[in-house]
Amino acid sequence: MKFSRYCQDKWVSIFIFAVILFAGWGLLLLIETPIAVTCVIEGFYLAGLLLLFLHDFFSRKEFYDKLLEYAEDVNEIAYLSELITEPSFQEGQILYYILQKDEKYMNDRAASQEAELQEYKDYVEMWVHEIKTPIAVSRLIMENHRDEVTRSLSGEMNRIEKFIDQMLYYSKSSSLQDDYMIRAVSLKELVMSSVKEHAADMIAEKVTPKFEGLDIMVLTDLKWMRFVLGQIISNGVKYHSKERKPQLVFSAVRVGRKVCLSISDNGIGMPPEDVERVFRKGFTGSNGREYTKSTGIGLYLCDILCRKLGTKLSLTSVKGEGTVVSLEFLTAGEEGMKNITKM
Amino acid sequence: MERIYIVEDEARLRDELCSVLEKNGYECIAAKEFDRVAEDILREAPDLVLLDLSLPVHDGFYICRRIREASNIPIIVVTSSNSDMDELMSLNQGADDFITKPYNIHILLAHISAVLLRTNGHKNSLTLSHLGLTLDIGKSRASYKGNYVELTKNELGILKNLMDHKGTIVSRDELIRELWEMEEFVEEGTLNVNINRLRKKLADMGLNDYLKTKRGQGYII
Repeated sequence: MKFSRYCQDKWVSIFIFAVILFAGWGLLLLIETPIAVTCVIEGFYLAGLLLLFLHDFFSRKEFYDKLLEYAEDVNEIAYLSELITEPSFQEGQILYYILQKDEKYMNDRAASQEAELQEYKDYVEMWVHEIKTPIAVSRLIMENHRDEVTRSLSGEMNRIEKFIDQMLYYSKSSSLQDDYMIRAVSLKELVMSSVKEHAADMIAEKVTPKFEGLDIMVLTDLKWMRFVLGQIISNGVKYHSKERKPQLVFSAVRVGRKVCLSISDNGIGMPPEDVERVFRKGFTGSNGREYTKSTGIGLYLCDILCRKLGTKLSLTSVKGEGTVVSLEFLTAGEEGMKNITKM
Repeated sequence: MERIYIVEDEARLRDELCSVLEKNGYECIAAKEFDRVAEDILREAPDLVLLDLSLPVHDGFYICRRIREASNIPIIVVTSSNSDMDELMSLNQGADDFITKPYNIHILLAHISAVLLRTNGHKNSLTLSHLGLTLDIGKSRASYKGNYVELTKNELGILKNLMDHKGTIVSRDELIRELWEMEEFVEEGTLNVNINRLRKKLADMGLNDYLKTKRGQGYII
């Protein structure tokens, strides 16, 4: 709050006071008061006005300045009224009252939305849990009646499971409380189990994996990261090139406390303008349109999950040559090694 | 024959699981009532228990604890929840292994035989036989009429998978997958080489044409 601006707002008061001052001056002149006395009287009046203005200005300034400062700095603006003290002047009190009322409304709304969202998430997780029994039964029925039909059904069942997984992690990606657990994980075990999970697709498309330098322990959540790798493998398989023998190379390089795992394919790659946008939700790009139906969810989810886990995820690609996805982990160090060998 | 006790409340799943396990040479007992499961298990004294966590009456943790109070029967907990907490709890209650639904049946079988091997030692090393050929998985050796050949890891995997599915066609992709499960990430060419070597070894023992090719579909024994 600035004093000049305050005076600007008070121009009517200043104008009225000026008129009265002028009139008083005129009156004093008429009754032939000595000039010195006139000056003293008018001076008192002026000083009175100034003091009045200053007092009023500073009491407001204290309140509004604090309010503004908190409004700018505090993240939880919905709790603004908790931070300031109730002012002594009426306008401030009205503002304070409205602010409190508004915040209560806002917080109630947010809480009910949050509760609703949580209920929905709980439902999704319960549903995912329930659907696994019929899937397990179907798998066993297929195993007990092996032929061409059940073999192709089994492939479709793989796809169903992948979609279910994606839904589960989509629900987790915006979760209010995260259920991951960072532990020391063998990078080799992580990669191998992801590859095995996607073995059927890779074999069907004749994509062969290669592994380099994976004997490192990293800090991450095994299940979440397995899902992330699964999406990356899935993309590598989906966008393989027909011109050469498709390959997926998993290689890890350790730099100090950090481990960079890169998954490179020799697939169709993508144009530079698509690379910038791959992590956006719903982005399908030219490949997604031309080659297979893409939902634009996979890499978006990877990005969100990696952010939560604190893993840096990046992607580079050259059209016609292939794509490299890199993940940056922290090494587990010696303690992690001990824990794992004990298990 | 090793006996497996299945505790699973979903009837279809239980029945199908039983027939898969029976096909793979195990004897199955399944609980149909759930109020006295632990007692029933202790009375039956099976070689292994497959225990679901979410059950009517008592949950799996309780049953696991009850069994452990009286016996060291190996227990594999099977659950559809994907949470670390359940895994941790199961292991704390004395379970030997933990597997999540929907499991790949081969992985479940691998877990079962690993747990059995761990608890029983090598005393009954798993053998499969079909049409006079016996496969000793522990020794990685195939024998026929008093002759035997040593098999490499890949050859063993291929022959085991074919014998597991005797009488039905196994596709090339499935065989490759079996090898990938063993962390041998082979390609088609390698599979061909392995199959040819396996055929030659079988022929050396006098088993010609044991492993038949079904054109465009796969192999069958």
